[in-house]
Amino acid sequence: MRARTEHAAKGCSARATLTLRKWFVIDGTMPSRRLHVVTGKGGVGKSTVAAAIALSAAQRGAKVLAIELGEIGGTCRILGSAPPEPGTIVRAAGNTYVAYFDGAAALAEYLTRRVRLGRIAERVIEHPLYEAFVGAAPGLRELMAIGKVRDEFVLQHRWDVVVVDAGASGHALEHLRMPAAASATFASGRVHREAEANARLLRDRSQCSIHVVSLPEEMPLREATHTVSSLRALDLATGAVFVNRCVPPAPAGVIEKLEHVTEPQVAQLLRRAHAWQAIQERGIAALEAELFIQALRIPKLRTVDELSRCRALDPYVGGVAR
Amino acid sequence: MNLPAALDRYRLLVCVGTGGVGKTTVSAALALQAAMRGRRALVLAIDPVRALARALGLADLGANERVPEAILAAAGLAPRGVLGAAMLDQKRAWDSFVLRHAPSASVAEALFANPFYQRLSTSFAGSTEYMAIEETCRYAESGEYDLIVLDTPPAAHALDFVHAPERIDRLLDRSVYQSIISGAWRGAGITARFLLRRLEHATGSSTLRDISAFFAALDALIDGALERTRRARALLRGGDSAFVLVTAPRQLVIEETRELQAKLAAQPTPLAAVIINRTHDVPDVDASSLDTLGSDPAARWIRHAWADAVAEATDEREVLARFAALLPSGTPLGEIPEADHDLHSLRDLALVAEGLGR
Repeated sequence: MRARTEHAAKGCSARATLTLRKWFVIDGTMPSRRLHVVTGKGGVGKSTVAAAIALSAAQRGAKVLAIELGEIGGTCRILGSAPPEPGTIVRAAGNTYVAYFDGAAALAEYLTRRVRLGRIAERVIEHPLYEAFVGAAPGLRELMAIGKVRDEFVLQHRWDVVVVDAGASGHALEHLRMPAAASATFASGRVHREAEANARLLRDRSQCSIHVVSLPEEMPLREATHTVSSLRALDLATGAVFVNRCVPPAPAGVIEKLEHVTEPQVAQLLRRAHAWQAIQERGIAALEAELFIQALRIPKLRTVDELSRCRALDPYVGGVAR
Repeated sequence: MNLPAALDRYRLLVCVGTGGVGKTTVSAALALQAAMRGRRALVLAIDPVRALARALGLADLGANERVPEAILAAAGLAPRGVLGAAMLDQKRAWDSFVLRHAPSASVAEALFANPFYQRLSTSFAGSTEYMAIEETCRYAESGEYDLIVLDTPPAAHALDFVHAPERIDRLLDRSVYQSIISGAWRGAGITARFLLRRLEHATGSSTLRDISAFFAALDALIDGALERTRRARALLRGGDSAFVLVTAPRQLVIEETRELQAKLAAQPTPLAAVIINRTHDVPDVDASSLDTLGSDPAARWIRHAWADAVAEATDEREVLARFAALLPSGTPLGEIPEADHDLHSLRDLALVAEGLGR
C-alpha cells in the first residue's frame, strides 16, 4: 500500500492526478475489508473525513461501523446518532453504524471476560486498588480501547469496514503507540499478548490503513508530516494524507489582475486569500517532497449541514474506501 | 470584568478549548499582554509548535524561561513587566518531580532505573496532565511570577488536568499501595488479593515486581507530593484562578465548545473570558469591479475567492451570533481576526495581544 502510494506520488503530474481521479469514481464495487484509522490534530476535520469514508463505503454496499475513541465527538454527531452508551452500537445515517469505545469501560470488560474475574468483577472494579493500578498505568485504557476495535474488526466478522475516529492527535498517537509500548512494558502474560495482537493489526498493511488529516496551513501540514514520520518509525500501516478545506490553486496573473480591482477593501481581502493559497501550495509541496507521497486534497464545500458535506466528499475520500 | 482586568487580577489563567483552535497562541498572547500591562507573566506551553517556541526563545529548553529583552526589543516590544515562557517536557518534569521530593539521591536513582517509572514518565497516556499541574504549582510557588497562563494538553479530555490532583491523591493513597508493596497483601482483603493474583497472571509477574518496587521507592516521596497536590487543588479552586475558553468560528468546533463550556460551568473555578480565534468580518462593500476583470483563469479564480470569502464570513457570523446568545450574560467575548499568515513571530503575537488588551 505504502509503496504504491509512494510511487504514485512521484511528481504531481496531471496524468497522476487523472489516474487518482479515476480510482475515486464510484464504480459500485464492494470495498475490501479494511480497518481505517483516521488521525490528525484537533480541529482539522478528522471526524468529517472519518464520517465521509464510512458513508462512501456504506454507499458501495459495505457493512460499516464507525467508532470513536476517547470522548464522544464529531463522528457520532455528524452521522446523526444520539450519543451512544460506551460500547453499544447504534444505527446511524446512510446505513452506517456508530459506536463509542471508552478506555475505562473497555478495560473493565476485558478484565471481566478475558482475565475471567467473572461475577466478582464489579467488586474488583470498585476497589481502590483497581483504581490505583489503572491510575498507575493509564495507558492500559488506551490499549484496551484499541483491543475493543480489534475485537469488532477481527473477531466479530460482522463488519466489512471499520472506521476509527482516533481523537485529538496527541491522544491518537498515544492510542497507536500504546500497543508497542505496552508489549515492551508487560514482558509476558495476557496483557503482553493483547498488546502484541493490537500492534500486529495496526502494522498489517493488507488490513489496516492509518490516515492523517491536515489543514492547508503551514503548522498543521508540518504536524501532519511529523505524524506520518512517527507512524512510519513505528512501522504502522500508514494510509493517505488528506488536506481538508483546500482552495483552488491560483493560476498565474492573479496578483497583476488585482491591480485593477478599484475597491481597496475588496483588493485587500483578495490579496489575503491569495496569500493563504500560496501558503497552502508551499505547505503541501513541502509535505509531499518530505514524505514522498501525494496528498489528497479535499475542497472547501458549502452545504446546509455537516452530513451533506460528508456525502459530497465521496469523490475525494471514496478512493481509500474501495 | 473585562479581559484586561482579568489579566491584572488573576494569578492563574487556564486556557481550555477543543483541539486546533489556537490555545497555545492565545496563551502566549495573554501572557505577553499581561507583561505589557506590567505583570510578571509566564506562559506554560504544552507541546507548542516549533515556530512559536522559536519566537519565544524557547529553543534552548527552559535553561532560563525569561524571554530575553533583546528578543522582545527586536519585535519592538518593551514590556513594563516580565515575560517568561516555558515548555512542558513530560519526561523532564517527572524527573525533576522525583529529584525535588526524593529524600536521597539513592531513592531517586532507584526510581529512575525502574522500568515501570520509565514507561510512566515517557509513553503512558495521561501523565502529561499530572505534570502540567505539578509544574504550574512549582512556578506559582516560586514567587517569580504574578501570573501563570497555562496552555492545556491537546484535548478531547480538556478537563482531565483539573482532576489530576485527585487522581494523584488516589494513586498515592498509602493504604492502597502498601498492599502492593507488602507482597503478601496482608489485610488487603479477599477482593484485592484475588485481583492482584489475576493481574499478576495477566501482566506477567515481573511487571508487578516493577510496580511494587516503584511504589516502594515512591513511598519516600509521598508526603511532599501529597502536600503539593493539596496546594494544587487550593490554587485551582481558590479565587485567584480562572478559565479562558478558546474557540474557533466553525459550527462543529462551536458545538464542542458549548459542551466544554457546560462542563466548565460545573467547576468552582470561574470563566474569565471566551476568545474566538481567527474570525472574519462580512465585507460590506461594492465589489462590482470584479465583473470587469474578464474571463481568463485568473479573473475566474478572483471571483471564486471573493464569493467564497463572503459566504464563509456570512456563515461564521450566524454561528457566532447563536453562540454568543447562549453565553452567560456579562462573559467577556474577545475576537482575534484572521491575519494573512500563520501567527508565529513575536511581532504577530504582539498584534494579537494588543487586540485582546482592548
